[in-house]
Amino acid sequence: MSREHDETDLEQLLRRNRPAPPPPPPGEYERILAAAQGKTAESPAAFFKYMPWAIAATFVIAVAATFFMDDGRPTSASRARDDRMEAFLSDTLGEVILEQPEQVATEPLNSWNTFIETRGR
Amino acid sequence: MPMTLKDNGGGQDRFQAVYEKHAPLARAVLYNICGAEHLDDLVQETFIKIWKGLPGFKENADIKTWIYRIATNTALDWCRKNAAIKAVNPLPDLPGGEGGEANALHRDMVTKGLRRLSPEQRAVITLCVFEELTIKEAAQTLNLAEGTVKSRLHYARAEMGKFFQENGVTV
Repeated sequence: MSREHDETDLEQLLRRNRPAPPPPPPGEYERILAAAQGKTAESPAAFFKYMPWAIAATFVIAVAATFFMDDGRPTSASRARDDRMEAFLSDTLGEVILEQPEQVATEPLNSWNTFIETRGR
Repeated sequence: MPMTLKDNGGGQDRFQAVYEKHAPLARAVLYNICGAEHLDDLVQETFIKIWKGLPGFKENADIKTWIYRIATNTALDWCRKNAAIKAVNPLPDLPGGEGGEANALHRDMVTKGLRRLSPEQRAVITLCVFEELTIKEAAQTLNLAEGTVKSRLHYARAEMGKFFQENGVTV
C-alpha cells in the first residue's frame, strides 16, 4: 500500500472518529455577552478608573512631605547635622584664636586698628 | 463560499449571529487542542476577543478563518501557559461522542492518540484533518509557512499512525 493511500486512510479514520466536545452549558451566550460588555466597558474608562488612585497617591505624598518638613522647621535629622557643624566650627575657631601669634597678644589693640586702617597708604 | 460580516446585522445582533453560527466550530477547535477541563472558559475568552475585534473586522474578509485563528491562538496560548500543570496532570479525558461501541473504541483511540501529540501538532491535525482546511488555509490561520504546516502534519500523522499500530487498530 502506498504512503499516500495510508495517509488518506488514516485521515478518514481520524475524521470518522473525531472527538466531539461536550455541549455548551445553558446560558453560555448570555454569560459571554455579559463578560464581553463588562470588559469593553472597562477599557475606555481605564484612565478614569485609576484616576482616584493617582489623586490619592499624590495627596499622600504631599501630606508625607509636609509631615517630614515639621511645620517648616528643620527636622530632627537636619538639626543634629547643624549641631555637629556648629561644634566643628566653634572648635576650629577656638583653636585659631588660641594659636594667635604672640605679637597679637602683646600689641595694644588700637595700634592694630591703626595699622589695618592705614594699610597700603 | 466563505461567510462574511455583510451577512450579519450590526453591533450586538451581529455578535449574536457570529456566536450562533460559529460557536460549535470554536468549541471543537478548543476542545481538540486543550481538552474539556477549561473548555467553557476558553470559549468565553475566544468570544471576548471576537467581540473586541468585530467592529474593526474587514467586511470582505473570511470570518471563518478569522475565528479559527482566534480559537487556535487562544488554545495554544493556554497550552503554553499551562505546560507545567499539564506535565503533572495529563490532558483531561475527552469523552467520545455518539455512535456504537466500535465507534466509541475508535474515538477513544483517536482521543488517546491526540494526547501524545504536542499542542502545535494537535492544532494542525484539528485544522487540516478535522476541519478539512487546506495547507494554505491552515498556514494562514496559524501564521506559519506552508512548509512548517506540512512538516507538522506529517509528524503528527506518523505519530498517530504509530500509536494505532501499537494498539492493534487497523487503518
